[in-house]
Amino acid sequence: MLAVHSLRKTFGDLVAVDNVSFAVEPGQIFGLLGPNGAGKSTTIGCISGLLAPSGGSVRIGDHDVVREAVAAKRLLGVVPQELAIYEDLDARSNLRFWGACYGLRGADLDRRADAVLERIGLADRARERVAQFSGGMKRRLNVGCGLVHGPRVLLLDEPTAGVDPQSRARLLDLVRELAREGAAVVYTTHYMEEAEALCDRIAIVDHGRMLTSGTLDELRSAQHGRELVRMTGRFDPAAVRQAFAGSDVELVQCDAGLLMLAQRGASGRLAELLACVQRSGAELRDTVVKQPNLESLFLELTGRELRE
Amino acid sequence: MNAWLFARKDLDRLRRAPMGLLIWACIPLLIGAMVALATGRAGGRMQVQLLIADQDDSFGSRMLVAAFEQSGIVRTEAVTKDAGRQRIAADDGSALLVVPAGFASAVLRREPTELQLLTNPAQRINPGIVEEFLRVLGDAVFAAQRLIGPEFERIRAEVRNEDSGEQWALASARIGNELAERVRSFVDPLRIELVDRSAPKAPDGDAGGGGDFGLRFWPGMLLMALFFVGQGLCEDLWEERRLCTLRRALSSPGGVRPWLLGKLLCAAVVAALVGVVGLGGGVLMFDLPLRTLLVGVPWVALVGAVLLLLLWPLACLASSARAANVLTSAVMFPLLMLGGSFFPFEAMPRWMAGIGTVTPNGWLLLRLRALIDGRFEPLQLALGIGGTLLLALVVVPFCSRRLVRGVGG
Repeated sequence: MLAVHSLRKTFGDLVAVDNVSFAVEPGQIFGLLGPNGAGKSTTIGCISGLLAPSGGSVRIGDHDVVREAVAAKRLLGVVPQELAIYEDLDARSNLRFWGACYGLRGADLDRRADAVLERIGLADRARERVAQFSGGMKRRLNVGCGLVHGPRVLLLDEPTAGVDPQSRARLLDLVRELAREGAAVVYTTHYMEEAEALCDRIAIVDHGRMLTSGTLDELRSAQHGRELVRMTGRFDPAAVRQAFAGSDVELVQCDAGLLMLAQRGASGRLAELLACVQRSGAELRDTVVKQPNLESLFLELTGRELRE
Repeated sequence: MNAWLFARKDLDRLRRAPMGLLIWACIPLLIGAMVALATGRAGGRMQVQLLIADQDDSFGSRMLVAAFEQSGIVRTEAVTKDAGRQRIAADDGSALLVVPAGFASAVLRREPTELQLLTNPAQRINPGIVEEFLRVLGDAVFAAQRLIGPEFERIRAEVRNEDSGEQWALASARIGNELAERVRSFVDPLRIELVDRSAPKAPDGDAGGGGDFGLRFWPGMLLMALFFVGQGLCEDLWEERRLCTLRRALSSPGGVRPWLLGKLLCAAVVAALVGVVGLGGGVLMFDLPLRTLLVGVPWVALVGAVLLLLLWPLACLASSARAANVLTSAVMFPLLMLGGSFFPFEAMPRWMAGIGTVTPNGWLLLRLRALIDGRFEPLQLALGIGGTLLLALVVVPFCSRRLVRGVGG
């Protein structure tokens, strides 16, 4: 349904998206996981036709988003990261307007608007000015405006940013429902828990590049059950390498201020690991053990925390 | 179709939050209405009420009354001398003119006669106008007595019954014709070459001369209201960018051009509404025909669209909403000044009026004034419509590119 092939987007010398490829089938939720500035929104911008790709291609259904932009956009629903609704209109008018932008008219438009109001839990506030809504309600309406025309591909760009837990749970349920109904969903987030709970397949992106992708199980198995130990302090990288030479400990990152080790069952052998590090002459300040999950995988791949 | 969809949305938003735009539209209209009222109602002409006690009641005295009426600024009313005095004492009238019995006969005999003028001390300007007018009439009669005194004598001789208006009219007409025949040999063909040294007319042969300040001033105020409204609507480019609704609109199949055209349509509708109010007020204040509304409102709608098209590129070139406001104001106010909105062209120095009439708003204002004056200029109107389309063809693609680039980063 959605095929992104070797997508590249540059702004002058800055490479915002570099050789990103993925495909999303109907009914599938594809997560783009990465920190702020990783290139997720730029990727969404290229898919939605807002930005012209510098290279590669994007196809929605049978249509290329550059050459057959109108046909491609008709299949697409976009939920931008920022609220994109008219606060001086009421909720129903917003939905009717954005539905009409995608060609819906008359009774069909009314029916769709009412159905979406029910879905996002705003049916009883339909005639109220959006300016009077809470942040969570506005977020739900923001999502509703992107799906009122029944898109076959839905792009959700961090739709839960700044949302209360109740509204977040409601939104995630809504995304699952849409996928069950056959929509191909692309969901960008920097919340690891959201990606784990929601996505069938996940791609980890950083600095515009896709570092890895797969199902949650595939990504976890790539870590081979290893736990990640992250230490900060003062290290002598050569001495540390020598201290762990010949052991089953993998040095993920080792520099003067940061040391990351990966080892199966590391939490049970922590005292042994710390002793080994101290023997190398290091001064330890802080030690964290991470269980194998997306966050530890991201850490392992980039050397940075997801929210840094 | 899509453009109308966007226009309806914008109109709906304005309907729900109209205050900002209403204030911008109303301030100039209010100023215009106040100036128009200050310079007088009923076409802006002053009405001097002259009470006349015609004790002569002759053909000659009635001609005197008619001379006042034909001035256009004096309204006469026949009264008795006593009633007139009471009216003046009660501040009901600007002046009382008493025409004594035997007035016409004395004029024809070239004998002294005396008109009595009683002015209202409670009024300052209107009695002065009557005094001045009467003085000019007196000079004219004196000159006529010197020039055509014998003819006066002949008329008087032919009239047997001095109370008969018919005999006066017949004698005056016959002797007047003889006089005209004599004079014709001097003026047909003209023996004197006349050279017009009068002051040049208002630019572009404009609308009726400018004797009526309120009527001249008020269309300029309407243009100013339209400019202010245009600036308010122009700010919406940045507002929709701030709301991110522009971003969402760009992701929809229609793209940016229907979005812009919708705003243009919205501006035309809003301008038409301002036109209905502004021109409607003009119809009431200046006793203009209703036709003014029918022909004026579509033109005002076009003006609204043109002004928005002029402001858009500036807003799109700006780097922020605030910069857009400063930039549009920096262009708008000089244009308003030159284009006849702050002062009518008639009140400007000639060189400035010359520049003002070729500014877009000045040119549009002149066409509006022509329509208000009942002059239909098909060629000029066609030029206006064609120019607007041409402007839209240039401005809309330019702004589309700027907006897409701005949103896309």
